[in-house]
Amino acid sequence: MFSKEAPAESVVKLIINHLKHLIRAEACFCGLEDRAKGQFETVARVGIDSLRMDSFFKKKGRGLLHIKDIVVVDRRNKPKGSSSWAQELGVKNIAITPINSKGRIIGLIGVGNNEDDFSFSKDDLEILGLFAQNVTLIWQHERLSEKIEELEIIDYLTGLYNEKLIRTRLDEEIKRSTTYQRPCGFIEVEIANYDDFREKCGMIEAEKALKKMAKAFKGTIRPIDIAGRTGPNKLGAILIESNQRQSQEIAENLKESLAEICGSEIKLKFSVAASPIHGVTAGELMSFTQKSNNK
Amino acid sequence: MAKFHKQIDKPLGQILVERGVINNTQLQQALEAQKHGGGLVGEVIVELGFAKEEDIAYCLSLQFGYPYLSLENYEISQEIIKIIPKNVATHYCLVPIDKIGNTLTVAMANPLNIQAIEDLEDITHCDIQIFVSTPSDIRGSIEKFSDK
Repeated sequence: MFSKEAPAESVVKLIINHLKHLIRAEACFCGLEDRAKGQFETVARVGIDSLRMDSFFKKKGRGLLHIKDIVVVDRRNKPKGSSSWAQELGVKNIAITPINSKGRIIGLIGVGNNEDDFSFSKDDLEILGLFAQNVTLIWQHERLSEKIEELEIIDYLTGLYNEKLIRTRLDEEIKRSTTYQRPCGFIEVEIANYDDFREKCGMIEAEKALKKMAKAFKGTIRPIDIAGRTGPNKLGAILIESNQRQSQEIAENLKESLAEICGSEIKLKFSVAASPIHGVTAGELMSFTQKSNNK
Repeated sequence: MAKFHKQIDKPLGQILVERGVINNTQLQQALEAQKHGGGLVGEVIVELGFAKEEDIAYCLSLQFGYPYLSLENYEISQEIIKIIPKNVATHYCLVPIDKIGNTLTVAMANPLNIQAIEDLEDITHCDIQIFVSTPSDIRGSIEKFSDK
């Protein structure tokens, strides 16, 4: 599941379910730090209602970030300051261990039950520790993936720039062209029947078509223009210092060259926007082309 | 709507040197300053004190035969000012001043900006007649008459 790029939350939920079966636990939970809120948020829980769990994290707040080691409340252990935790979570016995990453607490994982005269075994606590390490790995992988996504500028399928890069560059280019009292054009081509085509011919064929189209798209615009994939079924290009009329001319050339390679099965929609006529930000130009294509 | 516009390949700086508004050394200094600070060469020349906005506007007027118009005391009606959206007028530093039949008269700081003229034709579907004016006068008129 982890290797198949499942969302981290789903993997943690799976881990919590496993943990419940491995340790004699009636309740299991995992909370991870929400940096914006400055407290832990419940990511997965079994056998504890969400209100109780959320209120526990809310009440303890940033204090939980200072837990140094595993906290156990059972027949043998009644630690000062945390013996009420079991009661707050609605159980008689609990074991909670911090999840650490690079020396910082990023979450908690815990188990609890309502058995009388119960003590967690050494094995129980070891298993809990191992599961905490697993969650650390998942958390780190998730952060790394987010970082990579932030840094990515190339679309993996077409080899063109991705939507984020195009948006940023378009804003920069409009600012530059405004300084020099020049226009800036933007063109977008959409495969109108992409979903139908993919359903009919399959994902591989649909991706092949998009790839072929991207190559022709880049080959038709001028070398100074900047081409990108602006949506799952859309290609766009920043047309440097081109006004509406010049952008329309480029659109006509694109229509011809793409019609040749796409044939009759793929239906294309073209739209053009230019600064300052249709807007003075990337958002405005992109929303104009989007609206034109939706008409 | 295919129209023919005066095609001018000569840069403004060179025109100003040829007409004696600035000398070659001043042009080189202006280009150097532009390289570092950006901006339009005309604006840089004015900022460096090598010429006044009016000198540049006169020069363009004489060189290319566009009449010069001082907008200082010129009233522009609401009906006319609304013909060109404010963001377009500000972007290209131009202002509409009159409309007779299908001919729209526009005061521009840079009458050599063909792309701006094409955009005006596309927005207004009018023939564009150009007057030259200074950037300060144009910006002043946009502000004075646009938000009335």
